[in-house]
Amino acid sequence: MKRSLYPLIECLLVLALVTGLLFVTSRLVENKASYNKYNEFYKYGDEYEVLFSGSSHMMNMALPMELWKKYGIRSYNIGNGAETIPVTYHVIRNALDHSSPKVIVMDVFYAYSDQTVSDSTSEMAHAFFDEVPFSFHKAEAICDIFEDAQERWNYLFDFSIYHSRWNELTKADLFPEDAGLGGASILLESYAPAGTQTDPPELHEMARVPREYLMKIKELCDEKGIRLVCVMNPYPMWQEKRTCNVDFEKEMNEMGIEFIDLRESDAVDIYADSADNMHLNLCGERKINDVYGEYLTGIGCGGDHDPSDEIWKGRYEAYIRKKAMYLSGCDECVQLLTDLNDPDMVYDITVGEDAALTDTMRRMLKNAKDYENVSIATADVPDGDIRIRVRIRGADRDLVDKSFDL
Amino acid sequence: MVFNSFSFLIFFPVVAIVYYLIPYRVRYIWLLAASWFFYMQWNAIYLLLLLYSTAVAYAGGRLLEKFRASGKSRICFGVCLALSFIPLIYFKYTGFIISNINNVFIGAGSFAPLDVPDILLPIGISFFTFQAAGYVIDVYRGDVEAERDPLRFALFVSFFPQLVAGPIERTKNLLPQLECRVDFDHEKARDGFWLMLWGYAMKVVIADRIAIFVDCVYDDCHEYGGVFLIIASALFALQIYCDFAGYSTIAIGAAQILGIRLMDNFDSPYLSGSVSEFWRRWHISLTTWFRDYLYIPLGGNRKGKIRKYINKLVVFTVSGLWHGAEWSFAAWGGINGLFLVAEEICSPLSKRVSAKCGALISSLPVRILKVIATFILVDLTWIFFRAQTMEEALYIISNIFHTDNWNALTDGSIFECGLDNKNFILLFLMILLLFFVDRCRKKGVQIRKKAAGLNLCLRALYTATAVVFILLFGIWGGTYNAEAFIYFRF
Repeated sequence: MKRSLYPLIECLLVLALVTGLLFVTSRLVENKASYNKYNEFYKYGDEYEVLFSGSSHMMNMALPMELWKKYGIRSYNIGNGAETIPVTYHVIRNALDHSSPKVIVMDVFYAYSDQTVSDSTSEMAHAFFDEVPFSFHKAEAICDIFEDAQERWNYLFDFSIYHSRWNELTKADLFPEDAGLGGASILLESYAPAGTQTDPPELHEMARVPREYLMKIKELCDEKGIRLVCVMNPYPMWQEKRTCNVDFEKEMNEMGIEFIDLRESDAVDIYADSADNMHLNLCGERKINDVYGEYLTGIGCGGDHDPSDEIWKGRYEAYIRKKAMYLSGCDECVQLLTDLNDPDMVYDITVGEDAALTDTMRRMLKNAKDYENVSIATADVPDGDIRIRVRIRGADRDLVDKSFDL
Repeated sequence: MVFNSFSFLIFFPVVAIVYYLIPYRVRYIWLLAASWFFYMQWNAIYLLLLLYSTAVAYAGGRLLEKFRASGKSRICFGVCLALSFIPLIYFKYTGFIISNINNVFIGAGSFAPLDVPDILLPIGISFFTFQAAGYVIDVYRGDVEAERDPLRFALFVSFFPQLVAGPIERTKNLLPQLECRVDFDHEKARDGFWLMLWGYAMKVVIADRIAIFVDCVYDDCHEYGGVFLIIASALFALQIYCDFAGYSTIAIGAAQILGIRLMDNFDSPYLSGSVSEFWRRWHISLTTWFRDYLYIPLGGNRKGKIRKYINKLVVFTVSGLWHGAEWSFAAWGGINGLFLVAEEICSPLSKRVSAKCGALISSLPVRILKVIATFILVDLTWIFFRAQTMEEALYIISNIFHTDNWNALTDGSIFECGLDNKNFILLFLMILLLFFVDRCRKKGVQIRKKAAGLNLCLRALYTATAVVFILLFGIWGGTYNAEAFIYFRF
């Protein structure tokens, strides 16, 4: 080899090594939230017939594993917290590069907002962008969403913000795991709404930006032969204050988009099924999932799948283990009560005679009276006011056995 | 545009590649255009100041050469020098002068205070003004001939690697190099790149990490006890070294890639055994500038001891004011001058002690003690440098020895100032590395030369690992302010 080529070889070697080392270190230090959320989706993208998309109102709502178990629907929840309609457009566009669903169910909560990204929570878009493979599409999406050059840079090369995580690395960073929830998030929390509005809501026009992007999403779905169904999920603040209201019936009709308004749905008990003022808890999520399940099977989803599919069965068992992990980590009585309608768990609840139950707890227990997996007894509880024992269905040992002082 | 910004990482390779691809004759014009572009990234209008400094020095040099034989050269020199310093005085000292006039006359009854203008200091003005003024003095003295090519001279004043924070180059060193033909030398370029990497490591891994802790303590110094003030002050000494020497090292490395050798600016200063030695090793380009263009013209050490002491005090006080238009900077310079004078006064005594116990004085423990003592003395003066005001500096000095909170070292409260324990460990290891590199340098061992002797694969691995190490452990990205080089404000 000519010696004059050595400098060139050295430069190329350095470049190759820097690229390789940077790739490894950036994977190591990246925030794993996006990986946990999307890794499963990128691995099995082809399998999904339904995608749930949108803001936290969808992320904390559709439970793909339970939809599979109960209705045979193979779905994935690609929604993210504080996700505006423009971001949802890019999430869907990216998702369609990796999967071919028949239906997309999209939450349109952010249709009231004219922003491309929510000001106060713009960093939450990392949950989506971080795991998107580097591509022209990604760069285009980032430039479309963010105006600030620094922010664009941070999203395009997230190593620039995550490199400082080197001192926070744990075993989970070295060996990251799929979240195992089908992209969903479950809320074991409780919230008591301040009251219910009975006045008819004042209707507003949809803002220009979400309308423009909704049209883009519709065009994208039409082009690929995908059925787009927009929904407004229930959230307590709607009942309390009628916030963020858009005249969806009119707007969606004009755009030719199918729309389902679940805000006033009888399926949920807003006083027992709320996690906070914007979201439902796990019990409420499950109730709305039944609405989704009925609707989706009604339009031909799920029926032709075999629920005994071994791979999905394995995933479902992992999902049960995940739920069990969450439940055993609960240190408040009310958290456990948000899972009473879980078909995979068996609850034995003993309530002390003079237990100072809150109104929300009473309501949760009242609603659970008809559940076949829950038995409620009134008796003395030696260590507190209420004793809750939880067992995975079919297991011979309790997962949780805790007494709580109220 | 600063060296640790993304734009510089694009700018520099483009400049270097084009530089070596274009014909030799136009390369200096390309470098000049790049330098002006580099400067305009801060504020395009301030390029006029750079052009003014260049024009005054260039015209001055030509006129001085023309009038060298006649009696007019002295007047011409005075006018040129005054014109050179006008922008610096206006931009840097107007506010300081007016506020002092107000302070002096405020008690004089009917005196209405003058408005103190809020003038934005153009970046690098102290550096390029001194470089241009140095050239005028050199031509006046006949040490160099006036440069005829105005563009080449403009490049001498504006050469981007050292334009905004030095080293303040000397005419004899830089100007002739701009006329020489330079071919690409891979070994030198690689060495320059390694220098840049070390400069980046000093800046973003050490200095900017220390800055988090020091800023936390100094910005709220009344809330912290003596132990915190001691640690913050000791760390600030290292911060300012790594910040400034880091910048200089990047500048020297970048220039070396372009085939130009800039003067060394730091030579293991914290391994000095005396304050005078420290000043021979710290900011060498400025110290030698003051020595050659102020101390010696004032009489240096040729006019008796008292005059020599006064000259040193004057030079160091002026040096302090060069750094900033604040009395705290003047105090910093003045105290350093006093240390030097004290050292001079004590030198007969120390010579006698050395003669009697030479072996003991030159033993390792005593040498280490001298290095530590020098560090402490220099560090005390840095308090004036870092504190926002004179009052704050005096507060810190009076409280730094109230060390009743030693448990801060063990109860974890030390980790609540922006750096957790892992960051402290990394910092400690990097300071050890810094010490090791400086020690090697002082002993004449060049680590880069040893690395250059490795085989191609190991060399590439060494380079790549260094790059990734800096990117991983450096403080950058997010809300990090890349513009915050300490010496930029001078």
